[in-house]
Amino acid sequence: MSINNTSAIILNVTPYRETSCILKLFSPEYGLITGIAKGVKKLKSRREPLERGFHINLTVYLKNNRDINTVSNIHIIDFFPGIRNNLQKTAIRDITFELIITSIINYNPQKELYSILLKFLSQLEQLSEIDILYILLWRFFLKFADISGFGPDFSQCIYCGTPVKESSYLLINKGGISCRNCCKNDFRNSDFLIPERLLYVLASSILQYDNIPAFGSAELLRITRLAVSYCRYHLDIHREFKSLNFLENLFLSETNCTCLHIGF
Amino acid sequence: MIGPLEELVKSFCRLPAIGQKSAWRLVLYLMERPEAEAYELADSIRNAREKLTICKRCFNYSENEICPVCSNLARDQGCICIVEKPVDAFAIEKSGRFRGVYHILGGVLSPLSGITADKIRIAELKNRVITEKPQELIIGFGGSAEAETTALYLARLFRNDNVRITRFARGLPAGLDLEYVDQITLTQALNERTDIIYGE
Repeated sequence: MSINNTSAIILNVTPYRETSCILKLFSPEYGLITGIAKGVKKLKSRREPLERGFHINLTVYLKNNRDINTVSNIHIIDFFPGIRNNLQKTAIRDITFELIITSIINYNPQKELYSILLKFLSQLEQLSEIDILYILLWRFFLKFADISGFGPDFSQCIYCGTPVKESSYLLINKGGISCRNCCKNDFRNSDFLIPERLLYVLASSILQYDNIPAFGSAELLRITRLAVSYCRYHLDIHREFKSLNFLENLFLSETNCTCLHIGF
Repeated sequence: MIGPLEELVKSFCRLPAIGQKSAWRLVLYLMERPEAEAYELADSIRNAREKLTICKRCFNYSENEICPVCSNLARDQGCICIVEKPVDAFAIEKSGRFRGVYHILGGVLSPLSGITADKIRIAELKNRVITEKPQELIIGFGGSAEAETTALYLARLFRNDNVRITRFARGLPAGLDLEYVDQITLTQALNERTDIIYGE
């Protein structure tokens, strides 16, 4: 058995028996780990409460061939109150968590992805403009795809090779975009359209918050679905993202936009 | 071993927080007590299952179609306290401070676990708000992330319904030293601090 101190982000909390809970954690050194925190819900426990989305320091007691490890000495680094108190932000955060839970392999170091997730959470915490929150989410998906090796190429048309400067179609299975001239009829579907202003936002390395183009509600949802579909296709995830459905329901209750479904 | 004993142990094991060892202890205890006591327990379980139903208004357990709390006209029918489980309503009732009525939601939203608005009694609550037109909805949940999500969801759902939406105050528990309070509770206590009015 090895005893290790690490930091982690809590991706999910499942109550276990009366006073314990099972945590799904994402840490830089071990990737996805499952840990049991014993006695944290005891009335007399002086341990800190644990919730999804918290950034914590902890000690993990790792044992070979064990699915669930014991965790202790948990201290909260940041609990992101700005996300916790905002329904939209919580829903957006949960989509990234679901992506990690469904795609990352246990006990594999994920330092780069961890720092990207942490940065994403910090930005989500601070910002409040709705369009920017979604752009943060899309950029997270793009970086996730880059790290995982299937990042789409937005610089040029995959057929003719010319630099793309106008709205184009994302070809999910080909991992790139096609200009309007080259795009075959099957993919000439507005669901797969990447607007010119989004290409600009995704291409810039630093996000200029005062220069963000506006997207409509339906557009925000469509592009989010497109990003999720892209990752699901390349990661071979067949089930729908429950967190995305929740976000969609929130949207539908707010606006009267129609439900979009992008398959692959 | 002994068939009926093992069967009983198995039944006890199905109860929450009861493992094999505790189940055996309970079963052997029951066997050692007078016969009448064991039958009394069995009768109580049967009675509760046969006689209790779900209140059509608040969805709490009740002997009649409408529970005593909902049918009591002395209570404030315009103030609905929304709780997750029946046990929460019992806990509030024990305090003796609440004079309104309840709505048992039957769970809290947990999108990652697939518990969405249609799986709990949110539609029924919406109907209640439309038909009964209460003045206040008190969100009486615990402090988990899911409870927080549900509270925000409900606040959003009823924001245009001309009803006051409140929640339980969150902060320091009675009798606890400040140095042992976690940062979340302390932040909430600071954010939701109240005025001290001298003389009231």
